[in-house]
Amino acid sequence: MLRLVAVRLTHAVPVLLIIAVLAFLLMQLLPGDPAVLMAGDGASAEAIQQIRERLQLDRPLWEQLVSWVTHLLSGDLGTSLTLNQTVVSAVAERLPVSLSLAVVSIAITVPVGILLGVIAAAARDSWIDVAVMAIALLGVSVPSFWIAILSVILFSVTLGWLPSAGYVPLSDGFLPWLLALLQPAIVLALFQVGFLARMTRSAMLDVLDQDFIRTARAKGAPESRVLWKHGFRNTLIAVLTVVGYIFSLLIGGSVIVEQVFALPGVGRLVVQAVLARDYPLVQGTLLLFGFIFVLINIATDILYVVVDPRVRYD
Amino acid sequence: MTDAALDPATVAPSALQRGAALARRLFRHLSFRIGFVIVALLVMVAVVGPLLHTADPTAMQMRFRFRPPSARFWMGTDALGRDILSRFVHGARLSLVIGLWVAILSGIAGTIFGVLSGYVRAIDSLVMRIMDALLAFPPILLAIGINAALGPQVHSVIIALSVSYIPRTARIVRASALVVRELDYVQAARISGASGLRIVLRHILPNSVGPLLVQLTFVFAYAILAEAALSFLGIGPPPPTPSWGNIIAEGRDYSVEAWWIMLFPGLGISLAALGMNLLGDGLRDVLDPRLKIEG
Amino acid sequence: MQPSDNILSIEKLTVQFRSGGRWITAVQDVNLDLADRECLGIVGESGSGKSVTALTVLGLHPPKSTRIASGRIRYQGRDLLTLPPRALGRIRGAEIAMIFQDPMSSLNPVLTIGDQIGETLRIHQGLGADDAQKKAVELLDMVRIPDARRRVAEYPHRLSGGMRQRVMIAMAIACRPKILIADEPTTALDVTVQAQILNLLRELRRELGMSVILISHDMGVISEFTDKIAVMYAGQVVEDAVGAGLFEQPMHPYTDGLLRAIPDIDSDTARLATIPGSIPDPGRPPEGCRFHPRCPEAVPTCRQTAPAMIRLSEQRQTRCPPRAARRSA
Repeated sequence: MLRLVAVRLTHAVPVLLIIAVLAFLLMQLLPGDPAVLMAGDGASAEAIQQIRERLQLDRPLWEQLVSWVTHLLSGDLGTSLTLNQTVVSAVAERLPVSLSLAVVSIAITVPVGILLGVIAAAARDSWIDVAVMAIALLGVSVPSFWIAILSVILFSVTLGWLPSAGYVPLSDGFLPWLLALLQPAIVLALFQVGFLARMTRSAMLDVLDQDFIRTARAKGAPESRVLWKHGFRNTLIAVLTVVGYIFSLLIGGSVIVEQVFALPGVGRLVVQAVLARDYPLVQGTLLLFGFIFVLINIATDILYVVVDPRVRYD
Repeated sequence: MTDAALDPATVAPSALQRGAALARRLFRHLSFRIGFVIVALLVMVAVVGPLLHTADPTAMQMRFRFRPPSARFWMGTDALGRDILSRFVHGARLSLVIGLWVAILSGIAGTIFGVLSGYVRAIDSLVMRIMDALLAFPPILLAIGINAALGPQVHSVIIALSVSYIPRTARIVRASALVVRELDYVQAARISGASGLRIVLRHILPNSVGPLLVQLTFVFAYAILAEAALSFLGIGPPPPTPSWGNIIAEGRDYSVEAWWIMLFPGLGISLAALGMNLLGDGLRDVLDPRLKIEG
Repeated sequence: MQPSDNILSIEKLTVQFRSGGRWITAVQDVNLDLADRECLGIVGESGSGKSVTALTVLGLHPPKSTRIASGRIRYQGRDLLTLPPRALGRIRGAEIAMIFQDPMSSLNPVLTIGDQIGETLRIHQGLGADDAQKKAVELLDMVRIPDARRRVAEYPHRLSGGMRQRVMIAMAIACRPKILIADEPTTALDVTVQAQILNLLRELRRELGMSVILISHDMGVISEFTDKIAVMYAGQVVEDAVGAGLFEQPMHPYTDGLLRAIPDIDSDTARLATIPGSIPDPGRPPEGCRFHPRCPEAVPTCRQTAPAMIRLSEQRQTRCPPRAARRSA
């Protein structure tokens, strides 16, 4: 198992490198001269030139790239142009918020999505199936920022049950933390629940047609056991793949949800950074998202081996 | 019986006949029917709407600010006294145009990369590694970045979203190409000297059309949602443009008092995405019954 | 024969499938009796309704697209068709067990074979995990799987087809069922393995005193194994016989065809090459005798009147009036 993890990580190195280069190159596309931006209005040409040299913007592109990658390898992502702190600390400061949101959202998505998918598959073609799938379809069709606003009107403004914005750190207590995140997490989960339910149902329908399901019934296994132990257990590969994919949806979704609920997370940071042309900060956050994505893929690959004895990586 | 079997029309049905048969199968599918009706309705709103409803979507009439829906303003007016129905209708047109372009562009580019990768062994791993790396950036982020680089314009939204979805379409075409390339008759064609281009055009492309079309329908839906989200974040088409996302963003501050401003465009987005998703479900069941991970 | 002798009686069973909005009859008016410790063979081409009949006994047909139009399946004084699901669940696997044609796909790929054999015992006898595992090893010994202690922890994909069918059998006999239904148990296996599996079934049947329903398209398999044979064609029983009489003097032209097909049975392509034509579309069965379009002996009445079962003796029945008439003449 350890060897497998090591092998997967080595395989990921080229992809990680390409991600780093892409993150760098994408930022070169941004118009506007960060040196001008930093110097502020009415700065002299000399001052701009100084900043340019300090940031090494006067060097050829490939030299900048090499220098960026070497610094990257030593854990140095540079300094933000707008925040007056290093990229690493700016991201580290906001990461707990985004991670909290992700954890609560996943904790809602996975059980609910799977349950809905399995129920729909078990009740195939009945009104339950149709109803569950209609809900799932709405989940993947309704824009999250819109439903977020509607939800705030209902639960925060009208009913006053949940805070409409802001973040409470976990150190202030579990319940306040959860309460602050509940609404954004549910909004974020809507799309993912719909997605996971649709995928789980379709994987379950494939499995429930298999001969070994008939064998289980012939044994006298009660329907719940047939469904979960024999049916669902065999969809785990598909479900895992989808859950892995959901993590990447989560990153994109959090950008929007953090904006609506004014959560000071990485998603909000990256939007601000892009709008302010804060090169190093955008590069840094893109890199972080890319790395997280690759790590999640590795984790799913490894989990395949755990859930399905037929999967072997040799 | 024997006569029918010899009838050339039965032996090799024309493209038209096959198309008609496919359409019949699609329209028997309930999801497809509902999706088709929704999308057709929206297309009609987008095409015919501006002709019938002639109010200028950007004309401000300060006398009529914050008017709730009425006989005169069916969807009410916004903070600047603009007619929301007008803006809604033009927003529908914009959303559909953006969705369509994104589907077309990411379809074409994805096909090129997918075929190159699936057919030309030498560059397969390089192209796919780059696609994997692109896949690592959430589409919305990629779009934010590209959009910021190109400036807030409708065409930069289209380019940004198209680039974001290329890895997904490329993967699907590559998968079909890999399968088709190994088929006996394709091998035979290659040995007998058919050119690479001919094999791609005659065998690989026709076989990827089904799965690709299904994927593009979902891409269409995602593009509508993503465009709205970009507009909402203030990185979409620039503000006076009546896009659904813009209307919601502008109406957000008044969402409690003037709920109608953001209600209708939200419904529009949901309906458009729902319609495309339903179409996609129907297409997938009919064209490509295997389990697929969308997105 | 007194009805009370029978452990299982299928009476006037008619099963229909929904297809394109219509109900299509897959099994029509089937009567079958299984006596205690008897082996009943059901033979026929694929599509003849033999598997559907067997699946219906345990209620394993897909419930939504299937309906039982008429009939009863009597087992120990109860009608299995009207039993509530829980009660039927207590019988499945415990009193009536079943093995299937394709041991490759009939085993759950993500559970060890020990888990799968033990599951039957855990469901019906409430055994704990450890006890079930121990019993699973014993059962693997019983079905002659070498090195059972090690094999019990393996997954199905590591076993050969013959081994997997032995595992299926172990699973089926775990609770010492009174009846074992074997649906084409050897069809998917190599010829040499086929013989081993059949021998194993024969021995276990003796050891455990089970009644067996063996379903096959292969007259060779049926003839070696069974006390009583029912021949099915297009959803109907067309001939049945106790003992070897059926082989000596078939009373239905379709049986002739099946018997002639024995030597070719291993190669799927040559299957029933001796009977021209193919089994009719169940949605549109021919008028009169269902076999008449393929029958070399058909007379005009065969095309018009659907024949009923004709009792020839205590041991024999046929659905072929011309042959019955010739025999009594």
